[in-house]
Amino acid sequence: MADQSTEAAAKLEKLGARLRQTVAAQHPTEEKDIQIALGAVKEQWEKEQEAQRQKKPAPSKTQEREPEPPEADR
Amino acid sequence: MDDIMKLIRTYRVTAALDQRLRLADTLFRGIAAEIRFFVFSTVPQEAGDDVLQETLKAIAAGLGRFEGDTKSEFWAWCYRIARNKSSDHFRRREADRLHSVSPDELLKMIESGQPRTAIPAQEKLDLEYAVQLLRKANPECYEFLWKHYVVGLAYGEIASEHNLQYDNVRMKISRCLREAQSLIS
Repeated sequence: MADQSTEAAAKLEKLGARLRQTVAAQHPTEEKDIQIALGAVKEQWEKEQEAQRQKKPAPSKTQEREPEPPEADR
Repeated sequence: MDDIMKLIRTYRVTAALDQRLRLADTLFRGIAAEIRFFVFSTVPQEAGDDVLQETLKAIAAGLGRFEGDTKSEFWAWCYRIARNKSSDHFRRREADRLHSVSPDELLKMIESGQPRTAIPAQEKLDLEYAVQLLRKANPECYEFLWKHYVVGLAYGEIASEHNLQYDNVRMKISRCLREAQSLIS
């Protein structure tokens, strides 16, 4: 029975291999599929850049502020 | 494609966009056919292209965050994404996924893709026997036999998908195969 099961399993695997071959022949990888993936890579990279920009601490306000003019004598 | 992990590891530490695009281009040209087969084995053919594109986009977007260390972990991750995208499709269409690929359509599909003489007679008999096994299996067994033997998912991947123990899946598949065989003979 074990041998028969192995044979049956091998036949199912053969079916899988033929189907894989058929799908690959009928639907070869198209350039547009690759470009879609690359578009998503670019989009993800842009999101990461944006996140990094937002993470950077903003310059301190006290440093930027110009010295206040001396108070006028009353 | 043996250098998948090398490409992914390099991708993870690469910050420059042009280098990432070059790595992703090589990677996706290497994996697209296998992902396509997986997608086409789970959704009706007319939906295959849409689900494939959604899957490729999701893999590309998450590639930098993929934390696995082995090729099998990478494929399991890709299949998980493809399954989620297929489920989204079924949720939208409210269709029954098991009816998407009927055993009777399988041989027709193979034959239509080959010249008449391309499949040797003995192999044709083997394929017919395999289709008969699937036809005899009950719906649950059909799914397990299909996923393991035809699509090529490992026991562990099926176990995690169905929330079952590894050994339960292994024994269930073995039992399903014996039962289907006994119904033929």
